[in-house]
Amino acid sequence: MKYLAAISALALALSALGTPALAQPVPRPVPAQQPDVKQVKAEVIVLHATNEGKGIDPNIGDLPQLKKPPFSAYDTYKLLDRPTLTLARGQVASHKLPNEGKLNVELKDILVEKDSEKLVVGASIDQPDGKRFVEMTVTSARGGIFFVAGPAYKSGILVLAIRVGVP
Amino acid sequence: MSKHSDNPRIRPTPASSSAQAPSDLDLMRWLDGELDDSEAAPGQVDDVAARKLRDLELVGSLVRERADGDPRADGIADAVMAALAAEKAVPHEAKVVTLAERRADRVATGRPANDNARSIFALAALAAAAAAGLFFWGRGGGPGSEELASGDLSAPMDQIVAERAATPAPEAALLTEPVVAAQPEARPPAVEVAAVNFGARQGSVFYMGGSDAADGMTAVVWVTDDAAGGRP
Repeated sequence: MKYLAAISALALALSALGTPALAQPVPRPVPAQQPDVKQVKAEVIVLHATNEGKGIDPNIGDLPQLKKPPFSAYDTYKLLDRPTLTLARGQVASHKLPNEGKLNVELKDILVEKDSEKLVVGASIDQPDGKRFVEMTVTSARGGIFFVAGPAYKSGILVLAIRVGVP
Repeated sequence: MSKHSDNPRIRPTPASSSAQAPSDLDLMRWLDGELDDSEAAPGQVDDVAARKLRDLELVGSLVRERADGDPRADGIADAVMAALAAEKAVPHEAKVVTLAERRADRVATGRPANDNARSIFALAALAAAAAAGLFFWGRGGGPGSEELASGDLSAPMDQIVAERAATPAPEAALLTEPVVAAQPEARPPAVEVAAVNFGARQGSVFYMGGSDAADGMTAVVWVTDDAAGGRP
């Protein structure tokens, strides 16, 4: 009896170690429909974050995230620029940043699953010397916003809020 | 040591379902001749007891073989008995349970002293719990599975993400671990970071709540620029 129990326990443990990859069906990407959308727009909010005790610039608008961590590490946010980029699929739209660097945004794909639509957007920042600072790929619903923070600028940093799929 | 060096009683007989399994102590006492045949002969109970008896017999014979050739073995039995007698002379306050009482208690519980089934089942339950934990850990991808990349910009981003997920550097893993900040309730993220390449810098990916309930979580890619002075 005890041998049976021990063997059962061993079998359970081995099966747990061995089966996750087998037990889980490999998620297969759903073939995305390709909507007839040639381009979308992206609003870029360029902010200067410092600790000068001046609060959040009212011209920034409704960005409550700035009051929460990690943005609360800085107490002053000033609006520097607010361009709107037109993103065409497969084409990189660039915008010059206040630190002489460059923001690059690209609409990589549009995924449609049932009623939801996801924009696949690539974004990168180049340093003033042309070297890549950071690059990323995000998926976002229309109107979704994401932030990129970090490039040094005048005793502070630049914070970019990028809202994609704006009307 | 034993008067049953070639004991013909050590043979298995079909065990009765109502037979009480003998304890190891009973087996040793029986093998040493301390139990007479009028008491239950454990060797006639089942295969397990018979096997134990054979093993005890083998060990006893090996010990006798070595002890007979060692002069230190002379009088060892007398020495042990003398030590036991001296031990008995020291008063103890320990609870004394007679053999009869112990047997009665064992009969009342219906469980032999060498019954390890409860421990085995406890181990089985523990293994099952560990198995379930590993299973769900595997499904979730484990700690660091959402960790995003930091590395060589010249490498393909997907490759970098895969490598980082497979072998995170301890310090980088600490610094790049995604943090869910100020998220009162779990909502599907409106924005997800599929891949990020921090290059040689350190960075973090945060997920935080949106401006209202209609917004899902939003993502923050925070790069530590040494010129700006450190992490948030």
